[in-house]
Amino acid sequence: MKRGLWALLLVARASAAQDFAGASPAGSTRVPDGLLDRALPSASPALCAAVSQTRWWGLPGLETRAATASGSFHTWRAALGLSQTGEPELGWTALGLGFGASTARAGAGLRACARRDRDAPFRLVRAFTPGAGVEAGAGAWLLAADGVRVWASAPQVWTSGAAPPLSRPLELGVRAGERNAAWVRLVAPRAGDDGERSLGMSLAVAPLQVWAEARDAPLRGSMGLSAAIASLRVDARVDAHPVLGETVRVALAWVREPRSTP
Amino acid sequence: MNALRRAWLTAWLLTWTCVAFAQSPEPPPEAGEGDYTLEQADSLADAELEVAIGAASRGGPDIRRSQRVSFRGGGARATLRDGDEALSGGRVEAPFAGGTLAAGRLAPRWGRGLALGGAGEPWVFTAEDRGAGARYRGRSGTGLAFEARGASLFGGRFARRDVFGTRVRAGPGALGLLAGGRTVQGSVSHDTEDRSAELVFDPRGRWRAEAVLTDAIGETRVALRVRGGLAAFRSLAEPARAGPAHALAASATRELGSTTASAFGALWAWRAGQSGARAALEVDARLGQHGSFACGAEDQHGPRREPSPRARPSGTRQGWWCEWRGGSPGARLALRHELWGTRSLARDAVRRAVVARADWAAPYGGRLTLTHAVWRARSGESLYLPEAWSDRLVLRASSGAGSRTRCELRLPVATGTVRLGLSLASGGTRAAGRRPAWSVEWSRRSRLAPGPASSRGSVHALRGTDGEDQQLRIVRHARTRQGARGQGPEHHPPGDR
Repeated sequence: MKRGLWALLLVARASAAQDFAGASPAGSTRVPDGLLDRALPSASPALCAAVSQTRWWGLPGLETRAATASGSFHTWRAALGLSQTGEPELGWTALGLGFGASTARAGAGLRACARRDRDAPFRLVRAFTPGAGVEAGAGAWLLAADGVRVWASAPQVWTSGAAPPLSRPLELGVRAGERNAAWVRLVAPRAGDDGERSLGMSLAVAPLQVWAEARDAPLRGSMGLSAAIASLRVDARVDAHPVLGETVRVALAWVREPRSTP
Repeated sequence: MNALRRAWLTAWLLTWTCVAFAQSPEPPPEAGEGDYTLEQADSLADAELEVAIGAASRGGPDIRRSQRVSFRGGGARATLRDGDEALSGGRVEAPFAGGTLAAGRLAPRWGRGLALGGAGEPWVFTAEDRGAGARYRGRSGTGLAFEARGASLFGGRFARRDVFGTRVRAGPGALGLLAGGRTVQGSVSHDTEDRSAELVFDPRGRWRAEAVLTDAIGETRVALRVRGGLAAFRSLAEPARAGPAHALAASATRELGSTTASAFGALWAWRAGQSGARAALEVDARLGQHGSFACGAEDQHGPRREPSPRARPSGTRQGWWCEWRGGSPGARLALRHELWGTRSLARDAVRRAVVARADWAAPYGGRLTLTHAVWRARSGESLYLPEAWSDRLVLRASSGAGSRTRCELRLPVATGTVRLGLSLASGGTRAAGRRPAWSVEWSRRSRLAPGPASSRGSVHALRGTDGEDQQLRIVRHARTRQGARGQGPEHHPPGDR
């Protein structure tokens, strides 16, 4: 059964994101989960705590719940996250760490993630014992011009132990604009597919931001909605797949950042 | 009809665009399967000495130690390597009797290279690893060579046979004679700044001739190359680099403000019914002080390497690529995507590769570089991923689907520079599944006498001379020709054996 769930995820391949993905659009410099999920640190120093829930393909037994916290010190960024996917006897628990540095114009980060099956009580030390699935990756971004952000993220440069549920190759992206933005992403090919290309755009009408993204192979789309009130931020995202159905993500974050954030 | 179409395409490219087509480095025709290493040309200034010691592991328990000494001064220059798996050996040059005496690795070139020092590929005008001033230090043979103002003489082991040669020059003209394997070959060449021609022949009547013309049409630089002869002709010293008997190639380049447009086209025929064509267009635009964006498209037909007489005709390959570089000297990022397909507009993909490279300035003058490449090639297809080291360019043979990551940290330590390298590979490569490969090298460059320092390798140069502009390029290369012998993961040129 567990293999079936994993196979479902592998077949899906619809989202480059995994355990710690929030519901934000791609390429934003203010994505709170960017460091943990894609090794892309945020441009501005911020203190952030977030929780998210993902229901994969409308399957009640296949949900991911994640809690993340991130902080910064000068140009340094760090993040820690814990997530659980699936039922206790079938799912897995993931512990994520992210570390990086960034300025207003460039940033780079490292991420690591360890996974253990949930068929035994979770202990922190079990995440680092033999049998755990471990992956590490790196990412970098910079501003190619004012308002134009280019990034490269390789979340799984190195893997060990149990294979990760999703293979996540190198992703390249360009985004123009911050809140009113458009972006293009390119995901490198994996064994068995020819990669993925996506095109998205977002529009902001304070305090709301709505965005949509189209992807190929197979043709499908995502759309999301964000609302920010004071330090609270709510994100919702729906990914539609022509065969597997819909994936729904909801995230709630508390973000404290300087007002001078671009 | 196809020939007409190819000719029209080539003519169109030459008419409407223009050259310095940025050729990607490729393994030479004599290279077998597996990785191939190109040695960077000597970059020492006069009166400089460089010493390097290193150790490396290829993922196994074995550790290989290596040493390198290079010096230049008083008209003499030398590079000696020991323990280096791919580039061991060396070369020494010193003034002697009014000329220069060289010993060790030799890579001479005469005229157009038909007899000695050719490129092998019909679309390459001049081999990058042959002759004086070449970008890479070639290894066509081992022996002794003497060169004076009007004459040169050499003898050594080339292509598993003893070969001797002599050449006499008078103005732009030159006459050469090669002897070995109980036969001789003659060479008559004429070289000026913008024109070059060579005729080679042997006693059995086999011959080849080639001419190259370079000129400017307005602000467009153009070059034309024509070759003819008999397919049976093979150079005594480098038979694998004979290339096609008939070839026509042209290139054009034009500067348009901060943009350079280049075009290239080549037609060739190995023998009756086995012809090929290649045409490409490239645009390279500067973006500000440090950034650039380049993109290109290419069309290929027929075999690129000499096929066996019974080989089936090769199919069409169309590809396109784009590359962006940006950032500041403190943090730089470069991205590249390349796609090849069997149908027009690169549809029905057979090779796809995505490469990202980031490098940052580290404390104390250090530099950290991370390169990650992901590729997927259809069964029967392969590609080479360049990997630039401090003193070499390694072309990593890749097939199937996989990824390769290389991290290099360069730090000034103990009056020298330490380079720490770590490579990870997964799938589609000979190194896949192994433990991480690592390398450590400490090198120091010293001046032997007071004077200006070497200008090599500014750490802030985005497209410097250390091969950085080649690091991302993916070699457009199909399978090696039939009959080529595999020589393990690291290929050793013939002279190494």
